[in-house]
Amino acid sequence: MTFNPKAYVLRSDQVVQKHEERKAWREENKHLAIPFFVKGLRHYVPPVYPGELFLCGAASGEGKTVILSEWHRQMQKALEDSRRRAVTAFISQEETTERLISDDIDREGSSAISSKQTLWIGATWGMKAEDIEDMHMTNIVESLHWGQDSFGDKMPLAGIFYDYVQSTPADPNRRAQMTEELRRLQVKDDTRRLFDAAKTFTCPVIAAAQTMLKKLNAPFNNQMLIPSQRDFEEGAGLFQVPDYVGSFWLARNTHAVGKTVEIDNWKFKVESNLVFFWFLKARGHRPDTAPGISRVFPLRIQSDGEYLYEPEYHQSLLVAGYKNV
Amino acid sequence: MSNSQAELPPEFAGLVGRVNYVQKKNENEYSSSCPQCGGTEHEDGSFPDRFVLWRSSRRGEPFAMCLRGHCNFKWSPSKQDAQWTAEERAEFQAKRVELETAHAEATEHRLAELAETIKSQGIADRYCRDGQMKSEVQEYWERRGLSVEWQVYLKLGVLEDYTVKGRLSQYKDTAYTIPIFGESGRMENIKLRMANPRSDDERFRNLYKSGCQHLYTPVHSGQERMNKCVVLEGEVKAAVGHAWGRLPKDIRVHGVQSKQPESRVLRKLDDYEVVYLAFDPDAYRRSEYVDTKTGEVLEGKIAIMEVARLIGFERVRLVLPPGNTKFDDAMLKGYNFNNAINMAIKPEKLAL
Repeated sequence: MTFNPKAYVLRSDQVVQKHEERKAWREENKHLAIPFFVKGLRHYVPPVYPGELFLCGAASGEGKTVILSEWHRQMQKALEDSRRRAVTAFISQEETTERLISDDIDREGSSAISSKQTLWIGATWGMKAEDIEDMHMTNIVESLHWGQDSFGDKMPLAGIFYDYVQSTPADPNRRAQMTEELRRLQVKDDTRRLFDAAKTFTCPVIAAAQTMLKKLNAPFNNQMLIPSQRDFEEGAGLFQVPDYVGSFWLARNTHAVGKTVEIDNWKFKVESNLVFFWFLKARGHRPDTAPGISRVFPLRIQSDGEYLYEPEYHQSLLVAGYKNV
Repeated sequence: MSNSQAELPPEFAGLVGRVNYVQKKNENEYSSSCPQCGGTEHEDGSFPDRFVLWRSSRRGEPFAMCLRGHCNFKWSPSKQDAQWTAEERAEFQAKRVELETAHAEATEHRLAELAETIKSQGIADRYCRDGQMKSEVQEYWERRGLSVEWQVYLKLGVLEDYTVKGRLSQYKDTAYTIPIFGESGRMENIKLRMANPRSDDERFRNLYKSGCQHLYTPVHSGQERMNKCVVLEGEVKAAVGHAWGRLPKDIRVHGVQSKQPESRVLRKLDDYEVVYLAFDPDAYRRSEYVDTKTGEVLEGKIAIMEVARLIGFERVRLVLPPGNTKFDDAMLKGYNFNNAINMAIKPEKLAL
């Protein structure tokens, strides 16, 4: 393809025009953005618009899939309520599609779930190992295109949910040369391609990523092991590319339930359903447009799977005299 | 038409011995059973007429064809269901159009008269009042997914002690009544759903002998013209589809009485830009029929694809059924019908 500099070199007035067009588009297409899955934090965390990528980081076993699934369920309901013709795509490299859907079937019954507007992309029970290895990013993107076209009338994508970046198999031409350095490049490349997919398919993308398993580089503090930017496995590429990054820590996986944790301005008893969310990055936003940036919020997982944030509860986890601002 | 066999003229000699129940319709046209898919006497004793034999109006050549979609057998003295020339194909097509048009006109005329009769007799209202006075009847319809408000609007009711004339016996049964509203809103018949049928083919009867199918339209009043419709099999499914379907206001709901509706009924869908077909799972299975010559069981066509072809592939979207469950049963268990319509596919995308 011949490089065309005209597309890349713009005058200020041209850029301003594009900015105005983008602003108007965002205003007109608010309904296509995916709100943050924690209702109580929607003032603090902006919605994810088509073309944007939100990365959720957590260590292994700390709820990446659960978070993605809860967010996806909310998206499915919003889609149903809007009566819009579109589908969500849920892509899992970890679970079979049957296993992904089993919790939803337990909640709502198979009749309700069988009518959800969702394409499930992933391995199914009984698939061979070599078929599962074919689910690298090139084939994932091809699957999304195929899924859109499989209806005859092209089906818009309302959102892509991806679990999780580092579990994506290597592209065939790299499999044979899998060194540490190339693995990092692979992950950065896959993250970039998810970022591009948000633009290609004109939809929001929510992806999960695994943070360091054994030792965190720079957690929130030495008692509250909420992963920071530096703790995303395979590092910089994972953090640099997405528009939004948030990390999660399930307190009970580090401390016994009932133990009191006291550090900095925090003092709280570990509960079995207590999760902390650190809003690490919001590209293009300022503190007034993303008030939650750089802040840590305590959440509680409810019995129906909802992640609940309550300012009063947040305040109760702080040392007396500190205010939850 | 009399009930005794007519004799086929010499130009149809090649079919003698291969067809039965030959009837002379006029000087140039006969009907009979089909050499390929057969046909037996109807319940009312009339002869099968699925196979049409005629002399072409152009040059008087003999042709014959089966009107059954899954069979479609064609014949002329020199050829039998073989490679027809464009001129011969045009002959068959023209005959089909002629028969369908004549049939449609006669049927519409008959339906208009019947609708007047039904209106003047006012029976549907009486059955509805009877039904509303009985809690078990209300509960039956509620179990089927139709609230009391819907029961009153659709005039659903009951006819006690209906005499069912079955194949082997005659008996009394309670019949739930379903007035059939056509697309213009007029009541064209009253369907009876037996409470305790002794066999599957005794589940339904029509109160009036209309001799034809209807395009059921549950919302039969106050609706503007719409560009899209969804068609389900059966009146109750159509009513439940509207009541439970969470549909947007720009989709009209219809019900048909067969997974292979008459072409006259399908023509009533011509003005819709998009027709969603929400048929039961068995509409996606290939039919079977017996070759009367060899006794061999042969594969016929797939009903849903035939219906899509008759309506026009470009206008049809297939709403895939929820596994092996029927649409109304699924909706009562939480199935979102509007979602399913959003996920409808073009017929050419159906993998069978």
